[in-house]
Amino acid sequence: MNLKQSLVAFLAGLALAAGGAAYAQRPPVTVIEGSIETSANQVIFPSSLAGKVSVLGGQSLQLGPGTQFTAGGRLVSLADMAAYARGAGSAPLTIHYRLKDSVVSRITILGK
Amino acid sequence: MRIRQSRILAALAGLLLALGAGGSAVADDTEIFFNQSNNNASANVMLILDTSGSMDDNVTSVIDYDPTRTTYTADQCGSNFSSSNVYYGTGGTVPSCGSTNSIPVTQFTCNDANASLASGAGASGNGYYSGLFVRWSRQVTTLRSGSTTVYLWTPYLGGHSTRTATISNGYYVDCKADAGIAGAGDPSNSGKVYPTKNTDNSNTTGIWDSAVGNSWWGVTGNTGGSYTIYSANYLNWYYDSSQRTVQSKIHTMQTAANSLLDSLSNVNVGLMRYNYASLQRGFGASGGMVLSPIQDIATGRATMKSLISSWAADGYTPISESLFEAYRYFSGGAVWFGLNSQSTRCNTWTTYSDGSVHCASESVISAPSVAAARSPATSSAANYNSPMNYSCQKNYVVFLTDGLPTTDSEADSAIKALPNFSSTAGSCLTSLSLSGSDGTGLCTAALAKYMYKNDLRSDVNGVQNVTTYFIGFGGDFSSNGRRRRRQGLHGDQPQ
Repeated sequence: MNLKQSLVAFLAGLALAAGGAAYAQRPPVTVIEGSIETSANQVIFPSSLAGKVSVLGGQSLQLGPGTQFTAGGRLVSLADMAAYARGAGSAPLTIHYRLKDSVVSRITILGK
Repeated sequence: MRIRQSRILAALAGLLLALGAGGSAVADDTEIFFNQSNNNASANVMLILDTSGSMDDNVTSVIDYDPTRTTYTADQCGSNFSSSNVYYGTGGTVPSCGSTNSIPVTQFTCNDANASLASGAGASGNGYYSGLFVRWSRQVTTLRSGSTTVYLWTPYLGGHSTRTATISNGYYVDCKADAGIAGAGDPSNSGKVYPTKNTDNSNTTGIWDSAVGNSWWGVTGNTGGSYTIYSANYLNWYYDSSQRTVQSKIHTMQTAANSLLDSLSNVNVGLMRYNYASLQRGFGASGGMVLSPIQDIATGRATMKSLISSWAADGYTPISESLFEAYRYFSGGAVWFGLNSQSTRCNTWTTYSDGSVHCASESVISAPSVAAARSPATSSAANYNSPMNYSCQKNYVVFLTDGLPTTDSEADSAIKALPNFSSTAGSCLTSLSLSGSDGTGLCTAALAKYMYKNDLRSDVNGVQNVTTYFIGFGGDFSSNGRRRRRQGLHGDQPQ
């Protein structure tokens, strides 16, 4: 197989990812979470898990009892996460949410 | 000229592509061969792995079908498929729950499919078989004067209607692969190993003939029906929800990448990742850095595996900036994003109730481009040490990313200012307006094309260029994925 043939195989692989029929013998693999990569100073936290977390100029997503918060490398409460984010400036923050109902599963902010 | 080929990415690409269709995707191995030619100069491959925050997303994956296991439960269907039948699909479509596209096992005489469809102790088939088939069928032709009924082999497994005739589901099903080898599922069958081309007025099960001249397959235009046959056991696995697992992308990638590195030989491999943040430039300017220089895989394997396994997914997705740093490395240019870059290290991994593995405790650590990637090999050296040292040596970037670029514009001006950029690479995009993107990363495709079109080491004989492969996986490559590939990634393709 030369390089061009290899490329064809590669592109065929991408086609597979889009649901190519030739390989439909395997069950579908599902992406079950989406995420928003933003920065700490772009996020507004609610006061309780019954509220929504909002990204400035973007989406608002529902929190839930199972939502987990990781700030500075530790699992923290919603209140602690909000406080941490307020002091984190433009540090990267990622919101993960379930695609089926858009409920937030995890929010992570690492550094300040 | 001596040509060798090193197979790479069979596991990695297959696994990651499996994540690639957003709503759903299909897993299978995909191979890229990195040619190595002339003077035993091994190919150079730079892996750039996505470590952004979105890599902590969960996806489902599938536990492989085990034909020796017969206890699968098609709970997604409410009841199991009957082991008294095999089932058929067309056009790559797997039979749905409750499908009546079935053939009694006692009527399925394709001997060639036996191994593929077998299940239970000692079985090793994949559970399905694709081929060309015929079925002994009842054909009723309606005329003004009345109707006539005959039996014959037809290429229709599920019955068929034409303007004048109706073909009903029949009896035996045979396959082209058996022609001349077996009849009625029997390799001997008294020598009658060809389905007959003749019709019959009364035989309701099927007729085989010993004369090749009487073979249905020998009739001009007879090609058989193209079907895939599935065992009930396979379909029970297919619709068994317990055969799905949940895992984070980063953990999946770590497992796959380490497996890949273990499988490689006779190739030079380096490793880059996204910069989490730059103390000097701030969080918004990240790019990527060289954490393992391109070197013989046998030398760098352990270090790369250790690094990959340690990474926590966090930060942005600076695709073009990271590719630009790779360009600088290949061309022996100045270290830029790798000057004061940082990595994310997971201190504690935890397994969630759904089985997915995520980082519970992570740290930011200083991680500039390593000294071994620089010239001279010191941590303070300003320039990279290009790995492209031989004429005819092949050079590749393999870029694995799950998302659209974010905060990915700082290299744009420098990319546009590259020598002969517009004449060889065209232009950067003017905008990228897609969900999940912040509108940056406009120069990714053009830079990939530039790296392919230009000689990056004019001091080495021959043309030293770089071919870039992007492997996209995750939700960003679903509904807008193809559009994105058109907009952003086509510049990487060899011409």
